[in-house]
Amino acid sequence: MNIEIKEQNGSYLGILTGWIDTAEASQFLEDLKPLMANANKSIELDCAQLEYICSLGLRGVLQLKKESTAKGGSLILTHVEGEVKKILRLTGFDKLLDIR
Amino acid sequence: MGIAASVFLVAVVLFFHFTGDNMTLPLTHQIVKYGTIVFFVGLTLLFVFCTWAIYQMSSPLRQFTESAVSIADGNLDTPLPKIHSEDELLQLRNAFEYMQTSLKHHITELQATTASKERLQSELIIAHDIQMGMLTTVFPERDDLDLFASMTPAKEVGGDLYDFIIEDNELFFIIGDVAGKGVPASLYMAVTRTLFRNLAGNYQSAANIMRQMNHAIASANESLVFVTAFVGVLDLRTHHLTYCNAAHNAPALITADGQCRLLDAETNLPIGIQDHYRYEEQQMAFPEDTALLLYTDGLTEAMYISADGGRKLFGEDRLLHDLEKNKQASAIEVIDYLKQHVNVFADGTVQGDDLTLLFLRHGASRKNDSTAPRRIIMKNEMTEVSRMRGFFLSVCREHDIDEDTFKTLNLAIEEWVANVINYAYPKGIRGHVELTAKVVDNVLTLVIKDHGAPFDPTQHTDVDVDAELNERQIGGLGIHLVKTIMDSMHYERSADGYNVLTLTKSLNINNN
Repeated sequence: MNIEIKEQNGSYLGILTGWIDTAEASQFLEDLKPLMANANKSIELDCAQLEYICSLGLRGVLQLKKESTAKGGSLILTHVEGEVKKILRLTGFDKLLDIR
Repeated sequence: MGIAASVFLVAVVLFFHFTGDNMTLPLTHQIVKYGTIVFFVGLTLLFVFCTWAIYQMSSPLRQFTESAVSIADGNLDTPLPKIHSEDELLQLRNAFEYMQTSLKHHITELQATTASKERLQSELIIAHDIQMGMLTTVFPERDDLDLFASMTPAKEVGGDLYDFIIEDNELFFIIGDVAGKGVPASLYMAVTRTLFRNLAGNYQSAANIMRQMNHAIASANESLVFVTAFVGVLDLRTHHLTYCNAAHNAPALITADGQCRLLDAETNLPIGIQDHYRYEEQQMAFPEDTALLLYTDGLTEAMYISADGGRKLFGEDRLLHDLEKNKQASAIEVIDYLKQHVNVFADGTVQGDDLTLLFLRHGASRKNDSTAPRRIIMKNEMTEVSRMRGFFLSVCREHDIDEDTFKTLNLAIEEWVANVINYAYPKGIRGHVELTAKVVDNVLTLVIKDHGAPFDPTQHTDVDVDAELNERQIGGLGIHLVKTIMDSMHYERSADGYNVLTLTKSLNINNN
């Protein structure tokens, strides 16, 4: 699991890579904090390299979404494919999140 | 003496001249006649006197000679002749006396040194035997594993170690090399091996074993001795290997399709240097017919010194070449071959370092009984979910379950197992969770057991996946995922106090 955060013209891009399983989830939540602090900006999570995400990882994304909505920012997920897409569907997160 | 003889001669002549009857002879003739007699008598007397005098004077020397012979025979307390004069003889006697006491002192010292050296030597031999006794030489007799190992110390005792134990079809193994040689290294060797013995098994992961060994050694390591080691855990049922490398030589691998190469083994710090260092482990599928050779630098750094002082190391290329030649050989054959080759290569150059080799080959065991259940037992630690992933991946591969399906199913299992790990046992209490998987008639059946507090997920209120964002509860997702992904979920609290969750899933095996 890895998350790389880039800032460009005041908007943020988070590139998620690999497996976010239960063992790695707490680190993932920690790594999300810089984005959480900028939830009032526009944030994109690129999921092209994301292979797997467990429910704890999804909670992190959900928290970020709530924070973003509360602070008037925006959160979009891009390149959501395969297994991750399926997990989002199974959990109903596809309806809550802005997936492009 | 001459003067005395002349005076004596004159006196004798005058006596006979005036009192004797030979008055007819002239005086000069008488002097010649008696002088001759007196000369010979005097000479005789002189000889006798000189002989006596010389005998008297040389008597102490003869006694010294006798004493010296006696001393040489080992009688150090032989009495020396008494000398009353204050001349060279007294000096000689003093020198003799000094020699006698010195000899006695040195001989006593030599005896003590020899005795202690002999004691040390015999203690080293005993230590050698004890050390060799610590290394397991009873190798497993199993169809699915061919394992052999050997250790050849450069001195009586060495700092190399290997060990292995099998518990619940998991093979735990280690090879290690303590910095340095001889007795100091051997003490750490014994400590490291004992730590490994105690830590291996108990469903420990390779990195955990390394971390705990490091903690035990680094927390009390005044002399800053360190150990390089390689620890592996091979699950003989799931054909999955996890390993952790603490700055040791990368083992050589023979893949199932017969390629020989060094294992990709990322280096962590050696054991003993930094307490609480986070050792990372790696993992790989280890299918049947895969083999691994672990070795210490006594192999690759075995040296040949030619007559002109040129040096050559055995090196990794020779090692891989040897493995290539012995791909099909048994563990004991591979190790014998390598040891012989090192000997031939060194060609008389003294062995500089301990040489340890451990070879293991994972062979076929289950007679193609793919319906036999497979099992993994995990501790209540979150890192165990990655070990479980490896286990489940190999189950899926065995049954040709595709990658995406594996991920989905893994998510379902992980959600439940993580739940058990987090909540079933009180904080700080060691507990286990057991997962059994089998595929019969295209139906995957998973049974997950734990001994923790009773919890029935089927009674758990499902989350509302259609709820609006603000009403959406954070939590309860895991059980929802299990229910959604699997075809059936059955819970039972067993009479002997286990939570037993049985999950099934029909597999859509491709029809091609």
